[in-house]
Formats: sequence, C-alpha cells, structure tokens
Amino acid sequence: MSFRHLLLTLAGALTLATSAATLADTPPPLKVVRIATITFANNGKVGHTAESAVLENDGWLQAELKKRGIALEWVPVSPAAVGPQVNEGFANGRIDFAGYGDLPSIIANASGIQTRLIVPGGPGSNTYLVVPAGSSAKSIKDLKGKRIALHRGRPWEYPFSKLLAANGLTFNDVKIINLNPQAGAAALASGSVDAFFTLDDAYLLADKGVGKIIWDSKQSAPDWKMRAELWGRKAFIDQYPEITQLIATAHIRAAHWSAQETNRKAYYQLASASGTPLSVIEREYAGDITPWKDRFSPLYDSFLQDHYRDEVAYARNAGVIHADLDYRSLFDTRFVDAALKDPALAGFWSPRRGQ
Amino acid sequence: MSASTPWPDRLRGLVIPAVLLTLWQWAAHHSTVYAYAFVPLEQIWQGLLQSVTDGGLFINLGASLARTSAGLLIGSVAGLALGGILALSPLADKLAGTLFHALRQVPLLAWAPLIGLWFGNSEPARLLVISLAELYPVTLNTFEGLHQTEQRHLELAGLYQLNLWQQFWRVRLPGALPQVFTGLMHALTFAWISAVGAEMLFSAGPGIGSMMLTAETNQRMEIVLICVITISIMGALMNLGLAALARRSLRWHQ
Amino acid sequence: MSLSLPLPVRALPWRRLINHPGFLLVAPALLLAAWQTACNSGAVSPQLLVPPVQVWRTALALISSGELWQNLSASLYRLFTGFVAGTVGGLVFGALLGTKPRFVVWFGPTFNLLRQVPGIALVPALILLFGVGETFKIVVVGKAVFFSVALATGESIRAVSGRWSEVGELYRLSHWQRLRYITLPASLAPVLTGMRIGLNRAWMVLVATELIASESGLGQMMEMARQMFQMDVVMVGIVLTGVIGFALDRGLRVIQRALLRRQGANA
Repeated sequence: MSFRHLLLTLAGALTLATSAATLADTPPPLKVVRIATITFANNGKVGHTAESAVLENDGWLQAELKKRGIALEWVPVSPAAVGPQVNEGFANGRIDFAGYGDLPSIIANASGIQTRLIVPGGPGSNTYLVVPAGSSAKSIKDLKGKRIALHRGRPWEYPFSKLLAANGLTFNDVKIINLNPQAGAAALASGSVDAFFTLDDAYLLADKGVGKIIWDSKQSAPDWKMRAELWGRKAFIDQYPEITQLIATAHIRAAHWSAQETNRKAYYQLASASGTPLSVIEREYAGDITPWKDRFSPLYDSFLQDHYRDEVAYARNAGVIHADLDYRSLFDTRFVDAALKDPALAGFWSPRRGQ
Repeated sequence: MSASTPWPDRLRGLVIPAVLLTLWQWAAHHSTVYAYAFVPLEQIWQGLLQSVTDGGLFINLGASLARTSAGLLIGSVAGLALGGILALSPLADKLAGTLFHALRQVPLLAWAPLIGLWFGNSEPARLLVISLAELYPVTLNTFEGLHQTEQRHLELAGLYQLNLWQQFWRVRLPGALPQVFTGLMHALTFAWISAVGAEMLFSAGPGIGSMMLTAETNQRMEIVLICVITISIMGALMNLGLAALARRSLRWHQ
Repeated sequence: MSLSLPLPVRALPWRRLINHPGFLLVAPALLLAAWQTACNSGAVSPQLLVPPVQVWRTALALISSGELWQNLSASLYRLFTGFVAGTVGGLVFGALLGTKPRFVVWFGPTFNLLRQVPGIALVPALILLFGVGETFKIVVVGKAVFFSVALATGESIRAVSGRWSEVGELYRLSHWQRLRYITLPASLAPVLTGMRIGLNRAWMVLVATELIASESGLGQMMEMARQMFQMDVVMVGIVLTGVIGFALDRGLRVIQRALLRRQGANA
C-alpha cells in the first residue's frame, strides 16, 4: 500500500499548492467584456445599480459590441464587500471594468494592481452622521471622546476624516467602533455607541425612530461625498483601446441621460431596484448644493484632480496604503476626450474648480 | 420527536416556543429601540405574505437548496473517501492528516479573500465553500468511526480469518455507521448554513443569503427574520429527514 | 496515531519512518516548497500568490509592532471564555436530553429548531441585548459550542442507554452504577468529538463575528487587510488561524486519547 499512497498524497499536496499557478491564466481571446456591478436580490428579482440599469436600458453598448461579435457580461458583486471583490477581480483578470469607490481604487493601484480611471462621475453618495434619538449631541464637536461606529476601510472613511479635520478633531479624539453597517445600526439603536457614520441608510434609522441625523454632506464641497466611477483594467485597456472606447462612450451616454433634469424621477425609480425605499432616495438627492447635472460630470477637472491628490495623501498618512502613488498616473483621459467630441455632448458639462 | 410521539407530548413541545414568542412580542412593543431587532410578529407576518406573493421567498429558497445539494454531494463523497483513506492508511494519515487538521481549523470565512482571488467571486467560489463545510465533519467522523472499532471485534474478525475487505465491510463499517451519520447530520447543517453564508459573501443572483443581505442593507428587519426562520426550518427539516433515514438503516443493519 | 489498528505490516522501514514524529512535518514542508517554487517560477503574479518569504517578513513586522499579539490575545480570550461557557452549558443540557425523556418532550423541539438558527443572523439582536463589547462576541461563540456539545452528549447517551440498557438490567445495576460503568465510558468518545467540533465551530464563528463587529482580533486583522488588499497579512492570518486551531484541536485530542486509554486500562 505504502508507495502508491505516498505518491498519491504527494501529488495531492502539490496540486493544492500549484492550483493557484494554473488559475492565473492569460485573458482569453476577446469574446466577452466583463463589467462588475453591485447586485441585489430583491422582491424575487435580481437588480443592478442605477448606473448599470441606465446603460442596459440604453442598449447602445450591447448593439455596438454585438456588431463585433462580443457579448456583455455583468459580473455580480456583493454590496457587503464591493471594494475587495472588485479588486480581487481586477487582480485575477476576471473582470475588465467596474464602477466602484475611489478609496478601493487607490488601494488597488498602491498594491500593484494596475487600473485606470476611464470615466469619472457617478452620483456620489452623501455621508451622514446619526446619533441615537434621545441624544443631546448637535455636532461632531459634541462627540469628542465618544464612541462612533464606522466601518473601517470602506470608502466613506475618507469623508469622515474630512469632517473630523474641519472641526479640529483627529481620529484620536473619538473612539472608533468598527462595525459593518447593519451592526452599526443595531449598535446605534441600542445606544451602545454615541454616533454612527454612514450613507443614506441613516434615513431608515430616522424613520424607525431610533436615530436622528445631525449632519450630512449635502451642504459641503462635492468631494465630501463618496465617489464611485468607472475603472478599467490597464492590461485590457492597452490591449483593446477600441473596445474600451465603446465602454467609455456608453457610460458617458448613460451619464448624459441621467443628468437631464427630466430623467431624474426615472433615475430614482431605477435606483430603487436595490430595495432602498423611494422616499429615502428622494431625500438623499434633495436639498443638495451640488447641481444634479454635476453629479454625473465625466470631466478630469481640477476638482477631480485635487480630490484624488488629497485622498491619496490621506490614504498614505493613515496607513491605508503602504507605497507612494502618483495620483496623476491613475487617469487615462483619452476615452472621455474622444467621446466628448460628439457635438451632442460637447460643452454639456463645464469644468469645476478645485479647492 | 418521531411520528409515534403522542399528541399531548407534541403540545408540550410547543410550550417553550410559545413562551419565547410571547417574550418576543412583549419586547417588540416595549420600545422603538427594541422594535428595531425584535420586529413585531404582525409585521413579520406582513413581510411573509409579501415575499410569498411576489414569489421572492421560493425563488431564492430554491436556488439556495439547489446550491446546497450540489455542494453536499461533492463534499460528502470527498469526505467519505478522505475519511476512509485517513483511517485505513496510517501513512496517509501521518502525511495528509496533519495538513487536513490544520487547514480544517482555518475558518471558512477567512478563506474568502483567497477564494475570491483564486476562484473569482461567483458560483465556483460558493460551491467550494459549501463543499469544504461538508468535507470537514464528514471526514472527521468517518475517520473516528472507522477507528473506534473495538479491539475484540477485530480479534474476532482475525479468528474468522476475514480478509481486509471483509474486515472493512463486515466489522469496521457497521461499527462506524452511527458516527458517520452523526457526521453527516453535523455536515448537513454546516453545508446549509454555509450555503447561506457563501451567498452573503459571494452574492450574486438568487439565493436566500443574497435576499437576507439585501434586506439587511435596506434595514428590512422583518425580511431578515423571515430569511432566518426559513433557514432554521429548512435546517430542522433536513435533520429530521436524515435522522429518520439513520434510524431505518440502522434497524436494517440489526 | 496510537489508535491505529494492526494492519498487516509489510514494510517495516516505512513503518518506522512514518511513525517518527518528524514525519508530521513532511507534508507542510512539501507544501511550502511547492508554494515557493510556484512564486519563483514567475507563472503567478505576487498579487495573486504572495511568496512565503514575504509572508514571513510581514509576520515578523506584525510581531514586532505588537499588533499581532494584541489581536491574537483578544481572539483567544473570547474563544476560551465562550468555549468554557458553551461546553458547561452543553454538557448539562445534553445530559438532560439524553437521560430525561420528559425533558426531551418539553425542550427537544425548541432545541432542534434553535440549533438551526445561524448565529451570524442574530448579531443585530445580540448587539441590542448585550451591546458591542466583549459580551456579545462571547455569547456568539458560546452558542456555537453549546449546540455542538449538547447534541453530541444527548445523542450518545441515548444511543448508549438504548444499546446497553438490557445489560444494565441483567446485572441489576443501580441508576448510579449504570451511569458510572455504562453511560459515561461509552459516551465519552462521542462527547469529546462533539467538543472538538464545537471548538472548531467556535473558532469559525468568532472570526466571522470579528469580521462584522470588532475593533480587534485575528478576524478583524484579516478583514482590514482584505479591504486594503494586503494579501500578505491575510496569509499570515490564515496560517496563524490554522496553526492555532490545529494546536487547540491537538490539545483536546491528547486529552481525549488519555481519557480513552485510561478507560481502556480500567475496563
């Protein structure tokens, strides 16, 4: 029995160890373009984000790709771990494009996963500071030394750092309790934390009568919002610039559609496919000093440049990334430049200034 | 509880759940804070009606069950084989046993980043998690069961000059069966719960885990609870079925 | 494994070799070698598979910064507290399930239903009841252990009393004697296995809980590393959880073996 067994077991151990090697294959000949998108299972249906839905309804991209014999595949990503899953997908070459957060993109590039910002823009989620319903706190200043629930490493960590800094505070002045959003909500409801920093789920807490919103990013500069925009895998972009152009143009078409004031209601409807109540979506976008149109601006203007410069610096200082990163290397402006030559789009958006 | 359980005893079994439900309902109406997690029963009922009418519950449940069955099959077969090999071959045990026991101790969730990195974040990743959840307890219990064969039974087998195969088939395997079934029972629960966990980790398409995650994101606690209840009832049903099966096969064996 | 049963010994030198304690290290060493070879070959990008050397360096850095120890001690504290609480509760409850039919009538259905409830789904409710501190993490761990141990204890005692009750009656053993000479010895092995499964499960659930809601612990360290795409830290975490889990499991196994051997000697 012994020798054959030994060989078999050895083979097993080796297979286990080298399986990773065989998996890291080269990208297949282009039959399909894979775009990662956040997916929800709601009311018995599977829904995508509003951005993907607008693009799908447009139908232009599928038609253009079909002419070239290429299929479009949406690669679903769990809302609980968007950044890591997209980065893992970029690293193993299983996805080509993804619309996702700014901080994870910076992390990816600092770790040696080469991606590029293809089309800036996207609605940009507001951030909110919620306290228990019975709390007397009126601003973040009243929360000095208190316990604040925050999910570390998520893209809204950067806006939180801006809020602290604007009020003369640092991370050391508060006690951060690291909780994912649903645990954070429970902690706030039970009063185990004194505040909770999160996205528009803040309205759900207010509606349930367990929390009250004492601050939101609506009156702040647009870069206090969490950004989410279209990133592409560099190897793919270099190999198939023509296809990349199609993807970029399709996204700008979708942004142009969404940015029309007349389509705003329809956009809300698409966003509610995630299961977020329409009333929450309406409130999320209401009373905001950032013009509706500007939320979808695909321009690499000085506002965007400054945003990435500051966020990269923050990530480096906070130890979120462990290598220097030139923020300018993240942008590949060719595709937006070409798409905006279309007379229907040229001049639709005007550049914003930086800080 | 078997089919022969007398009615009064069945009713007695319902007393504790009834007390717990009453406590729950009391907590639900105690304050808005408590109502956050202890959702009032009437609200859960409404949510149940809604998710049954729109078909969401069944679509997602069906998808999860199909996924669990696939993982179950892969994991059990692999587990029985691995457990058998480790128990019967001291060499394999010394060599692969160490690795198996070390790898087994790494929580499945901890593998998530590497699984995502190596196998992607979609169906293969989910099946892998479910099969692994199944593999560990089945292997462990098969191994233990085969090992526990009492010495005198083996001596008896020696006396009858049974060959290795007969020894395995007539002495060791029957002795190991109860433990193998315990392993399968543990594993079934594991596989089912890990299917839900895998769907939450690697969410995509229908699945009770995806449904729960979406509901959690939207703070629809009543839907979360309906998912939890569905998961629990399905788990209990699976165990009842397996226990009945175990009783029958053991009886047959005697 | 000393329990290995006498299979026909054909190749004595092999036998001696594989029984050498050092032989246990062969498989991990082979794995390590294969891992390093795969990295050196250049076929795998370092983002996909961190070289072992890099993992080692990261581990040293985490040790010297004190970060590792801080997370490790937090996790182990939660594990042990929860494990002890869960085991004690599970043994008592399981013994009642196995010996008192009335108890099964009242509590059996509830036990079997609650056993299926995934602990992770209860996190919001548990936070509401116990806050976000250590208590709720220990409760989550304790719950996982409790059900594994209670199930194994109950099942094995019932199986034993079924199989051996006639023997007990034949020898006219008292209730206490039956417990001492039949039930306890015969159910020892499955109960210990239940405890080992419980420990494994507790470790698993603990990491999950630390992922969702914690400021410290190995699970938290790995989750943060995943967010920041530090796969070397993730690998350190995986190796460490494996090694610690293995050591804990081996510890229980040594106890199990010692008890079973003593039992064998007494019989």
